[in-house]
Order: sequence, then C-alpha cells, then structure tokens
Amino acid sequence: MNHLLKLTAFLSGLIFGLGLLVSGFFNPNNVLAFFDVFGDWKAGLMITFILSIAISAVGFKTFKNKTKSLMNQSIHLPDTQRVNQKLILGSALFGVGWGIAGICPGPALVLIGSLKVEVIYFFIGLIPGIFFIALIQRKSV
Amino acid sequence: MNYVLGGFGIGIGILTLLFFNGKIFGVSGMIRGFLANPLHENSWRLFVIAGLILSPIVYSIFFYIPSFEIKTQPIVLIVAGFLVGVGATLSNGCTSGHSVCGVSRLSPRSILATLIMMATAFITFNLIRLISA
Repeated sequence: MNHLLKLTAFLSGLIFGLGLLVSGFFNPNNVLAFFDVFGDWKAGLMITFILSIAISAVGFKTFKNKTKSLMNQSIHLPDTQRVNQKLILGSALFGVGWGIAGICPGPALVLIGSLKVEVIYFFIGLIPGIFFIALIQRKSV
Repeated sequence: MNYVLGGFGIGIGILTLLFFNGKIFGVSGMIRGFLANPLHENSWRLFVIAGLILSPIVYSIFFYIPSFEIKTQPIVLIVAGFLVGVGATLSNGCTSGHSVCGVSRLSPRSILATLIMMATAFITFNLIRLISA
C-alpha cells in the first residue's frame, strides 16, 4: 500500500475523531444524557448524527456507480440485503451494551488517546466479544 | 454549534476514507480486521485506528478538552464492552458502519440495525435508571 493511502487513512480517522471530540460524542456521559429522554435529556447529539448521515449520503451518492476510488483503489460496498436473525440479535445486544456504558467502538478508541484509563475495562470485554462470535461461527461451519 | 461541527467532522472523515481508500468507515470491523491480521498488507485499518486514537492529542493542541469521569464500574464496563463486541460482530457493524454509513446509503439492513440499536440502548439506559432509583 502506498504511503499516500496510509496518510489518507490516518487523516480519515483523525478527522472522524475530531468530530467525536468537538461534538462531545466521545464522552460517555454525554451519550448517556442523550439516552436520558425522561430526565435531563440532551438531544444535541441528534444534530451531529443527522448531519453526519447527510454528509456521508452526498458522498455515497456521488460515488454510487464508481468502481475505483480517486486513488485507484477498488470500492467494495456491502450489497447484502438480507435481514436475518443475526442482524436483529446482534443489534439488540449492541444496544444493551451501548445503553449500559454509553461507549461504542469509535469513541472507545478516542478515549484511549484521551488517557481515560477506565476505557481499558471496556476493551477487556470488547476484544473477546468480537472474537467470541468468530469462534462459535468457525465451529458451526 | 459544536454539534454541527462534530457532524461535519464525522461525515468528512467517512468521505475521506471512501474517496481515497475506497473503504467503508466501520470501526468495529476495522478493529476486528486489524486484530485478526495485524501485519496484513491491508494496514489501512491500523492507520485509521491510529488517527482515531491520536485525535485527542491533536485536538488538545488547539482546544480545551473538558475533564470528566467515567462513572461506570469496571466490571460493568467489561460486560458492556463484551456485549458491544458480540453485537457488532453478529450484526456486522456498529454506530459508524450501520448508523452513519449504512443509513446514508439507505441500506434496509442498516436502517433496521440502527432502529434496534437505538431502541435497546434507550430502553436499557432507562431500565437501569429505574431500577437503581
């Protein structure tokens, strides 16, 4: 992989992370306050969410029929349409975990760089969680 | 205003990876792919992850990051992390891949996944609030 592609990959993570920081999305207390509809609800992250979707939509629309990126990389967009039990169960389990701690994978990485040591505990659960499924699936194949 | 800037940042980050690298910005998948094969030539994942981890350091050069505490107990954080890991892997996406990228492409799978993730997160948070009150 050429160095320019490494740079653009790094920049994409950096810019995305800056977005999580400036909006406060990286701070689990803000995310939990976003879930707190019956209490001291802070709905502002909805603006961040909707805007990020809108910007991303413009980009995907522009790139819809392209097969190569600007740097001649093949574009692989997921084309699975199937809604299955795995999708439903997985999303539900994810939501429970997200609702408990207010942390999802992107913000978790930003929290490492923010030197929030407690986020290590989140990773102690996250990484085995990610491979737990792979292990089960390998056995069932 | 910060919410708006944040939306731009997240959106532009996603577009950078799409336009140049031709990849979808899905953080759980990137972590999985990277850990499964750290030395693979597809090291783009490592660089996105590095960008995310280093973003607070870059941010703090220009802006102040307000201090805050993570109040969740360690054991609870481990459980939450495990559920997020299992869930994101099963549904093949998390907040970035499904809720932002997928929804913006109007993928029916991602729209459903997002609705379920949001609903269960809202319910879980409020149930815990109710029980612990």
